[in-house]
Amino acid sequence: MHITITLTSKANLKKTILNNLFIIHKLDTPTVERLYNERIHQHFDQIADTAYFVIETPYVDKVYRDSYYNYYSSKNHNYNRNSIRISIFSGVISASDFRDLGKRKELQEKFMGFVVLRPTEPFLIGRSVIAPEILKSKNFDIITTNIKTTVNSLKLNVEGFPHSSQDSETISCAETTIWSLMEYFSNRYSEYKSVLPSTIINTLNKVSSERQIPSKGLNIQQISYTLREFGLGTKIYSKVDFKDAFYNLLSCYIESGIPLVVAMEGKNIGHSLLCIGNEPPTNAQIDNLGVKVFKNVGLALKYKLKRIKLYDYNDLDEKYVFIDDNHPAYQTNSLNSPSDNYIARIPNWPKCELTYFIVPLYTKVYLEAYEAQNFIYRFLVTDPFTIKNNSEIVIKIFLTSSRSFKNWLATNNTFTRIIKDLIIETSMPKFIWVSEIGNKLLTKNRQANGIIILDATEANTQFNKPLILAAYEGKYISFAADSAELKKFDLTLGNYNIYHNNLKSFK
Amino acid sequence: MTEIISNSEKIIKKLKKDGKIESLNKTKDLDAIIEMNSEMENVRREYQVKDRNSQVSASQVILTA
Repeated sequence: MHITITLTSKANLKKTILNNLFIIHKLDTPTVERLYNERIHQHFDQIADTAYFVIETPYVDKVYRDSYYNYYSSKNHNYNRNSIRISIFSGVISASDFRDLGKRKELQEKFMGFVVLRPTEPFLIGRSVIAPEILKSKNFDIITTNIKTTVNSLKLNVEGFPHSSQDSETISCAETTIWSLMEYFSNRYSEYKSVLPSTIINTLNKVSSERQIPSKGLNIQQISYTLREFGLGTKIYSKVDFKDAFYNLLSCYIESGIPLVVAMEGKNIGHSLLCIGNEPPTNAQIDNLGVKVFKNVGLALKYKLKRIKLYDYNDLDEKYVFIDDNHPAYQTNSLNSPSDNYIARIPNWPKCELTYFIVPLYTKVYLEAYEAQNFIYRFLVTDPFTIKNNSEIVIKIFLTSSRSFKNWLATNNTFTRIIKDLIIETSMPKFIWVSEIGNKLLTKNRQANGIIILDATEANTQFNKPLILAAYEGKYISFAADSAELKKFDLTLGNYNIYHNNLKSFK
Repeated sequence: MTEIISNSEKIIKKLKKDGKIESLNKTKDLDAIIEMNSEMENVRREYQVKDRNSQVSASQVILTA
């Protein structure tokens, strides 16, 4: 069998896809056209009109082949085992470029990802990775990974977030979410392995009293269990239990660069999707950020008596970016109305809300976000660190690796030199909680003038154990290297450019 | 040639000499720590309940759409 490779502009993309779909699916023209209009066009509409495409038919897709061998091939109906792959380039390319060594660099620079079309009508969109740079709308900061692939026999890389639609039989929204998440982790960190639909099904088979295919979806606990089996230290947060802190915690983990499995519920709807980033806040959103209201009476009283106004960056009401298997990649929605893009397409779709999220933590992050942020809220108004009366501060709390943090700090020329040296030479665990302290003006300028660093491996919050160091208002506090005694140094931290390594910007 | 980098030692030595380091081991410091210990113990208990309840209810929510 020969592989047919077609190069086309966006103007001719529909015609080329229809021809290829016809070859693979043997469907009549009106059906193929309807499938394109209902299921495919929106994925390419969001791509810049200047894009160029390479279509390869037949294409062996590892994810669909796994579903085919483990399920579709056992059916009476004859499913094609091959797929179609559409690779995306940012500008015009020619067939000869792929055989010219001198053009390799240019092809890599222009390569913007791929979309696989599998023969599981009507759910045709399979494995895909699209570089956000090629999107018409891309004002967001997101988590990405580098994925290796080949186009017309040439090895190329793309940076984006893995996406697929569900086929509704071997993978529903829940399994697709797990696949996408593990595809991200395995390409980003060597500790994790990518998984195929059959691996997910087999993992759940061990603990399930019913068969897993055809898929009837998964409950949140099953998703968490599967991710844990794949090596992640998952935690579940429910809106009912964490109440006002729910969105704040979700934001805190997103600012930490951790993709979250999110559950969206409405009348007769239970849907799973991934949250992978957010839109950068506007100055107006920072100005409108409200004072933190503490439900704990003792803590609220402390802030009231000192007349301190605390603004929490993670309370900002910006839009978030989702990977949703029912929509093209990188959908943006607010946390309060996550189903707006469904309602825009299907008017009678029920209004939904986010009810749970699962955070796939590194297994040795023992101090999770709720306790870390509560430690910081209290530390700010407790001696010896307590901040000045009548202060108005903005804090931004996030988790990061000490390697990335020190790498950023080492080359940050805006950070006070003496404190930079002390921090860099401080022994730290693999992961740390960081709270940057500033005010609204500094936040708008992407700057801060204070910092608290906590040990994310220290779950014991007694006697300031998680504290590594804190610096603000002329004080630098840390434990002495040779004893467990806290020391206060008279050192002033000036304004510095804030840490922005967890999410990648695509303006 | 060997070069040892330990700027912290030099910084701390100088701060000590200038009287700019204070040990936080006085009674008022310990009182503040004890008070925060008690508050964090309450946070821990509160978190454990929320965490357990989140896990239990999570088994009831089926995601299929």
